[in-house]
Amino acid sequence: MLDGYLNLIKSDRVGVRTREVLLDRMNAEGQGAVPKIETGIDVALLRAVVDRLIPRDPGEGNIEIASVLASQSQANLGDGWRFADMPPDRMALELGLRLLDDMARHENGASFAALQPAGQDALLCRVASGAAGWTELDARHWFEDLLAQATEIYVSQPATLAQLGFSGIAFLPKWPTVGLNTTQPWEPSRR
Amino acid sequence: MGAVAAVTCEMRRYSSDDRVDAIVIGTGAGGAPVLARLAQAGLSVVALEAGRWWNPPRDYAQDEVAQRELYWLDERLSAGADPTAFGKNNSGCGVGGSTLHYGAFAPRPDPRDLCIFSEFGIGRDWPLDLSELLPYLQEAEHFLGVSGPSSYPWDPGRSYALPPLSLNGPAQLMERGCAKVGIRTSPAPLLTLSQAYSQTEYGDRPPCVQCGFCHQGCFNGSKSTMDVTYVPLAVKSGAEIRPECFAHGFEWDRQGRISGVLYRHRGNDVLQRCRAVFLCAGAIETPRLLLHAGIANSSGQVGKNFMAHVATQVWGTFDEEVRPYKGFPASLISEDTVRPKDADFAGGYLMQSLGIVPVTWAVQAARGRLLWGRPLVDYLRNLNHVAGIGINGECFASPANFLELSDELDGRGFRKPIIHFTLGDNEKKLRNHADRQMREIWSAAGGSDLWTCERTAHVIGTCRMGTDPTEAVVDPYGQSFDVPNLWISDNSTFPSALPANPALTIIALALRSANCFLRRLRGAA
Repeated sequence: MLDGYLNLIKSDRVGVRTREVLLDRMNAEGQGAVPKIETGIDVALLRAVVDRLIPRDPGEGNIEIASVLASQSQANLGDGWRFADMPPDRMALELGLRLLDDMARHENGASFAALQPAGQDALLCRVASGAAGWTELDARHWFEDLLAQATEIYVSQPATLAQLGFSGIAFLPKWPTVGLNTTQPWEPSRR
Repeated sequence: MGAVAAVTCEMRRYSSDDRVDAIVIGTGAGGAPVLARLAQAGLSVVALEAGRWWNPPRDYAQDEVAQRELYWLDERLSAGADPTAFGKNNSGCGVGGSTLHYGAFAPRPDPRDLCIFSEFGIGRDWPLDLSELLPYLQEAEHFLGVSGPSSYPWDPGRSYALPPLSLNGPAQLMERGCAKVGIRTSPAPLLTLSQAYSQTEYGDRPPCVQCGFCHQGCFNGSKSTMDVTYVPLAVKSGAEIRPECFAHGFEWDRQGRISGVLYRHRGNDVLQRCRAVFLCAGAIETPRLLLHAGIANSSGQVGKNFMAHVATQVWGTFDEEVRPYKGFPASLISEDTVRPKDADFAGGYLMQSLGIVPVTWAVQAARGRLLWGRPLVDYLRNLNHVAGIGINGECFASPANFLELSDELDGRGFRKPIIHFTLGDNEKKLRNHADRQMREIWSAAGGSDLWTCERTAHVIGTCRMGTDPTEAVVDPYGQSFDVPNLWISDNSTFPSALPANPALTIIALALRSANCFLRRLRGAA
């Protein structure tokens, strides 16, 4: 699926540094090859949540959003700000996951990861709308931050960029024209 | 040899025991022009910059994640009913400051907005009018290189030296929608070169190749950032730039004047002696440093009057292939809404077409629409068919909106800033008006699945200028009322937000401030 896009990345239309960044990302995060580190984060639970936020068909994409997210969180790779009513990012992630799992166990008698997708979505809907009844954490802010982080990891993957038909990396030496319906024959289209 | 290497190998260097004429803290739109001006006047000047000195052709990727270090990433805490986002939303880090990632949208301030109180009875008049700023705006435009129309619809006498950049997909759609609803548009004035441009002070710069990654750093120097314009001029004129130096304190003489600046470089504290300081660290770090040091605040106004532009966007999906990431992101402007006829609020806003790169767009859609699961993944497949319009809307100071130091410490051991921000009644009415207006334009242009992204942008106003020392931190030229050899040059001195994007105004104020500093220095000598 990626072959055409991989050829584009390796072509002269893409800058040296950009090519390096994209290939590194594919290699480092591909095939689940993210370094396994002790994060204190329940990655299985995080994976179950992320699978509902960014559902993908089996075999689609080869990176594990939850693993990347957990290691970013472990590295305290902040984005320059947080909502003042939230604890520090990593603490917030851990606490929110625990509260979500507690909800599942309390209301459904099973861990979040063990629920059917519909049951998982019902819980997440309440968290997203702030109707989760959490007192220790602003549920909406937690959900929004997690969703934003997962989305960033997802979209920055070359496999996703290929699916979206994103050609913006391939402008060298310059775009011959810009404007509506000026797509060049070699530009990828969405799948 | 790269551009940076060429600049640095011939750079003059001062010893920390040299008592330099001035230290400039920050090398963005507020600091770099001051640095150049003072060095050109023959003063010994050193700039302290918290971030790195990037080598764009080598270091920059056309990738949003890889370029994250251009943003100020030290954590800030955002509070209030409408907390404003930091990180990639505003402050920059590196030689060039936030101009490294700014949108380079370069309207001049509207003369009416500088006397907003006189017109509407709310907000604050600026202690200067546009005629005083105009020569500096024109000087900056000429030096930096601005592309734009040969005749500007809202200021018929104005023209730009370089022809406009091509309109990209979103700009063409906005132009079409605006024509149908009777709103005038124009190719935007942009601090980016549509043709090669030279100034003897910095040499040749190539034209924009329309890659669309302006917010991730311009790899070829066609965007008029400080690191390819005022910084090389400053270095050529004898200034020293010290990257990766975070200023965090001051040393004093017996007369209550600053005699040195304390900064941290790779874990070591260094004291540089000086005769004067220009604090140009932006509307968050400038008041943060003053509050941390406990100085220049007899007015009690340091950190107060925090403002952010109402920066609402409306996105739509179109039948045409838009590819919104190609071409200069915001290449069309309308100033018809600077004073809308049917407004129920004071002031106004300007509109711009919006191109966008994929991660930024996806995260905005996720946060702004709260889309998740299959609806999110499905919506993102529309990337090649979406376009946006956004505004910069006026914002007034309010007692509810301010910066203070939290009790939480950052990695260096200094207190993190906490910023309180809640939209006032005027901002909400303006936002609602703009939302209706932009939806009307997108509907007329054939857009479907419209959605509104609520946001605020730019950080403004935490050390405001004025004529009354009990109400302002600095005088109308940027000199501190309390510490005579301390000057502030950045967006913190703005008394109101002004709808115009701040960079060009900051640069013009900086040049004016530097001239006044030199005048007063000579007067005292």
